[in-house]
Amino acid sequence: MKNFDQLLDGVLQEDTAAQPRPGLEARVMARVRMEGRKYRSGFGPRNLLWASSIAMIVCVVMAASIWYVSDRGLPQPDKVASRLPAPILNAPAVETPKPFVARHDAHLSQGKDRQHLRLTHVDSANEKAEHASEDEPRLETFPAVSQKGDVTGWFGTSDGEKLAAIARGASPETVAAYQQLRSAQKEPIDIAAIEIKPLQ
Amino acid sequence: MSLRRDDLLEREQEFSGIVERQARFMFRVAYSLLRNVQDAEDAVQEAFLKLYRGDAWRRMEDEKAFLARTVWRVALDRAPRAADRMDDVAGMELAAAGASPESHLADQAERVLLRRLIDGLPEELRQPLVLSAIEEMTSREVAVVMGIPEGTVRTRLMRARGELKKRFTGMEVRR
Repeated sequence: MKNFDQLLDGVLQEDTAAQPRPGLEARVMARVRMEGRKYRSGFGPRNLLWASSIAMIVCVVMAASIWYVSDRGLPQPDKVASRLPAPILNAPAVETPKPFVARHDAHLSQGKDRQHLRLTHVDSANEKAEHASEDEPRLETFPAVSQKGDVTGWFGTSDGEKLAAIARGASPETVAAYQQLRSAQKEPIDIAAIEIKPLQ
Repeated sequence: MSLRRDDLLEREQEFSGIVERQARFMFRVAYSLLRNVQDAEDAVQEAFLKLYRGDAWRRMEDEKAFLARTVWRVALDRAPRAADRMDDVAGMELAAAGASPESHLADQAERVLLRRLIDGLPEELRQPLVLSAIEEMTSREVAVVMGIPEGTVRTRLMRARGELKKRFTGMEVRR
């Protein structure tokens, strides 16, 4: 069967003797250079990897900061109470202004007539307006000076002063609740000793 | 930035040398599997592009074996299925049986039949046979390309030849 072996070798040689069309190397290098241009223009896979990594890090940082700000935006009442200094909590509540009805009742008790009552009402209103103009700050002045601890004196004060201002405006019930909360926090908490028993 | 550009140019020049040296060899490896010039050229281009995107080609120990293995894998993805080739072989059997009795036509028919029989071999026998026929490829390089031991390559070559001879002789007897 020498013929078969020769025939087989001949067929295999024919198959492997095939030649590419002219310019195969040039075509390959043209495509390779196009690939190289992608690298140079900054769109190579390595640069894309860097760019996407940086973008992801920026997104994560932004999401974390948004979450942090939204979580701390509205402080809980318990946290505010724990931060208040003791002198503020012990400070006496501000005397609430007398209602206008009180003077009205006084006049009625004295038996004055309705006309006199109306005049008194007008006078009282004018008097109140004068006091208000004296007490309240001028709107064109900023920041305005205030004796009452309201928002006009807010800027330029420390956190303690701000909290004190809040406490002065609070009702006696609120202050009492804060004091009760503070005293409850000062009480020692008993923690039982941890005992670890050996495994049986 | 200019340093990086210089690096890229140097890289291109180095790669160009490999393309000049081995493109035709890689084409023959691809063609032995695909049997189509256009498909083989496409496989060579794809293999070179894959190489260029990585850096493995700069650390090649056996350049020829490494490149042959690369283009072989690309060609394998593009190769027609063995079942399709077997259908062609069945058709060629009939054509060869009904060929002209004249000698040169008979010889041509024998070659065509044998080629189809090679295509009809199992992949594990056909691949080492066609690779070993490429003049530059030794048994060791074929073993590297296929990722099998050199002794296995030799065994499969013997089996492939024996199988072809048996099938071819059987057809000759029938004719």
